[in-house]
Amino acid sequence: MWAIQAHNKSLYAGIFAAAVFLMFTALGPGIFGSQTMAYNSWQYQIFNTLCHQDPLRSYSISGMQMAVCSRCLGIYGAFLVGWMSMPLYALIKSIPQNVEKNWLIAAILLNLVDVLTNFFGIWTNTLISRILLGGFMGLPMALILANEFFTYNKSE
Amino acid sequence: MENEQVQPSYWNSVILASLVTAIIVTAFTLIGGYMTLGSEPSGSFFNSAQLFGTFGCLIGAVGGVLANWHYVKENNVTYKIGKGALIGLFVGLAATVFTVLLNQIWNLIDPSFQQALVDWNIENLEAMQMPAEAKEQAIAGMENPNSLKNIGLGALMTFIALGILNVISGLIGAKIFASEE
Repeated sequence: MWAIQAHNKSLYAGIFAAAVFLMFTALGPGIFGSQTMAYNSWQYQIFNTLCHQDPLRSYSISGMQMAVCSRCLGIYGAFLVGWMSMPLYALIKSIPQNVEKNWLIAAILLNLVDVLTNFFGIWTNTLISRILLGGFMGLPMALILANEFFTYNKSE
Repeated sequence: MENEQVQPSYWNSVILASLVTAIIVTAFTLIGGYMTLGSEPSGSFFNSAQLFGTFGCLIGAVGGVLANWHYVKENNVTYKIGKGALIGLFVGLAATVFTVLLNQIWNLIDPSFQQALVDWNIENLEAMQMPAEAKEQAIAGMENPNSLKNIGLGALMTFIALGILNVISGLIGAKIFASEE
């Protein structure tokens, strides 16, 4: 019999709310059916200093450009998915923390290599490759924290 | 109460990480801005000079990790991740204040910079293929970048983004550097 123990509940709830807010903001004004010019919207302005917001590198909803590029969308989306699946991940987790840390470092390096090789014309990335690589980085950011919030005790 | 330990202040680490974050974010914004001004308004939503800002995202979010790393390295302490999140939040707040201050200092050094960027963007909008009403709406939203209202709104938007991202990076920083495991 497995018994779940939750820790730091308020912190978990607070970060969950923040991650949901980030995700909905990242989706841009189109999700609310707004016809405001993309870069006049509050969503666009929140990410203004953090993301290049290139329309050619961003997805759209209802014809409105999202507030972040596809790579950032992958990061925020995967972080939210990772945060929500944390209780399940804590149950099946059998790898030491060093592996998650290395996964995170590898994901950051992979994204840097992708940006640089694309910049120098060695390879051409796409919306899909960028969102996948972003997701590869966002997921371990959440999962590395799993045992700070959920642990399982095995009882007879 | 016996187990309670008084830990050293983390403010030195918060201020250091905030300053590093604010200086780099401001530098990237200014360099991207001047590269934009050096190009012709083509009517495109996006100027290739803005690609420079690609790295701003990583730098903006790294303050929380940097502050936790510095705090642990200087004081050789361990603590719970909640404290790491708090350090990250303070880094986001202080980095926002420093970024606004650095931008205002730059306004004194080059008073025409902000207005030149607005003028460039208006010219760029006018070159776009879009309805006149949408153009007017967009241009109206760009005016008077140095008004108190616009500076305050910009700071609030920056704080929301930097605050949330640095809380998360603060959690990760505390987990990696300050965990007792």
